Amino acid sequence: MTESKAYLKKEWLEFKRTHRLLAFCILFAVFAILGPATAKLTPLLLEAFQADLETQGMQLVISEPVAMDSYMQFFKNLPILLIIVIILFSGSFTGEFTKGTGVLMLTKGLSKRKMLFTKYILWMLTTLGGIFLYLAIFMGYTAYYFKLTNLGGFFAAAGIYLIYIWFWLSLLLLMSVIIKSAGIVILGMGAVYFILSLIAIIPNAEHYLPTGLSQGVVFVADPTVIKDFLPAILITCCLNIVLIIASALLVPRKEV
Amino acid sequence: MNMLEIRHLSKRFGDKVVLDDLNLVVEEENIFGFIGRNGAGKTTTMKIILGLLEADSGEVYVCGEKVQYGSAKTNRLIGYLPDVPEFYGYMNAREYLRLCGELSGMDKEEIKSRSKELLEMVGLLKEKGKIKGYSRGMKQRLGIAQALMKHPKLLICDEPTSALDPLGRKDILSILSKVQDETSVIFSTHILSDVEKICRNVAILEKGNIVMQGNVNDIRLRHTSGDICIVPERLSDLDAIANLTGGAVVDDKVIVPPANSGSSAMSAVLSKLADSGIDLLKIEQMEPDLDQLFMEVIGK
Repeated sequence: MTESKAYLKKEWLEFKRTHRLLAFCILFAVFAILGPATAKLTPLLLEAFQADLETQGMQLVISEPVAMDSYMQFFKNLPILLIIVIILFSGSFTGEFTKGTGVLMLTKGLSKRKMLFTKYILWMLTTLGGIFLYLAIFMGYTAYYFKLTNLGGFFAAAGIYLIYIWFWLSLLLLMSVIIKSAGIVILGMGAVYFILSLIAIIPNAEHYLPTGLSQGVVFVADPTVIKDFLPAILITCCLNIVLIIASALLVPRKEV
Repeated sequence: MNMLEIRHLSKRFGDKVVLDDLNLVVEEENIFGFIGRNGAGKTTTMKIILGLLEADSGEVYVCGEKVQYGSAKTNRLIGYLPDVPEFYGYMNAREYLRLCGELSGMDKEEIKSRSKELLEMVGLLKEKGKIKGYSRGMKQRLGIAQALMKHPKLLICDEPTSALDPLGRKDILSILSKVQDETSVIFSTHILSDVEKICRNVAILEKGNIVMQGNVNDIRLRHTSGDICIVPERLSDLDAIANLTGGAVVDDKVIVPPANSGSSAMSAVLSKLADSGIDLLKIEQMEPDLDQLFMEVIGK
């Protein structure tokens, strides 16, 4: 426990001093502001082009923006933030071995397992912190621009998306154990996404896949759909546990 | 007590045999030289001792405790300095030593006093900057400090001077000489002059096995060839000396081989030369240096 606490302190210091904390705050805040702003401004932009488009024979029906348009932007931006998070953390564990910094930590009595899971805790906490910041700023701006509606569905969809984010961080955990370099870790994550997308082509397959949890605004519009995705929630949670256990079992054998 | 005991250690990478039934015992002592050319298996041996690499067969004991691959248990007894230590560049030396102390379970006060003591010893006490701005020599000195943080019983240095300039090497050797009073040191290197300067005992590793081990002076004596080297004042006397002693002219000297001289024959050679009236600059029984011994042992 002492080693993990000391190493977590080091990880947090690294997160701050390598400007990742700043990058997190700026990115999550910017995207949180952009979402409601985009929802508010898109109809205005379309109005500006309306005259031009009508001369070309196109008829535009512009409706008044509502909170749902802002929610749509919220879920549209989340995958971009998730990709940034994965890229930022992809070299966190592998880098300790490729750069050689981790060897000295191991020779101080820190086990590879403690090293890995301390990093995982930091990934989870900082991502969760970033998402809460994103959510708080987003809700503030959405409430400022629009009348808040469908809040129950929105928070349920956001909660389900958190399980989806947990899946990718758990996959990153295993990839960091079995792969040597950060670049290949990202490629591996991409390959898994590609395979899941291929399987999702099968009708109703997404009800059982982790990627099914990223429906976002579909759940907000009709929360009753969520019950169709209960198998996906259950399977993803089980997969996460399997990924964590596999990482814990494999990491002591990771080559230094 | 044996600080380190290696029994029948073998390791191969693919088809390449790196360690082949290696046996080595290092007793509690000052600085033990672990010599071998590049690729001889020194770093592999070190990594197995640290539990960072799995051996194909064999056992390693540190202070009587068995080393387990993947377990960091025996590492509490060991301090490790790699050839090129890598640190977290965003920290300064004190922060890094604090992290090492905390990982080792030391309390705050102990960490503070030990860090000060070690930074003073390695000459980094006044250095306030981040480690990313350090020179290679400074990193190596910080490497020694971190390795000694928890008062290890055994300090393993893997080629600590190989990547340094002469001044940096001198600094490291001087620091290692200082620390030998508080810990046993295994000093792995292929720079033999460094070994001659600070090691009492050595082992030579070649093709994955120990081909020679013992006290540096004893090894030298055992391998004294018995050759007598004679340097005359005038080069024109070289042939005359060779004829008198049965030696051979080599450059500006005459070498008399053991068959013609022998360690007891020095007086006979001296008397022959004294009667000849030839003036000499130098006459000596030759002792091989570690470089010659090393070449001889590895068959080069």
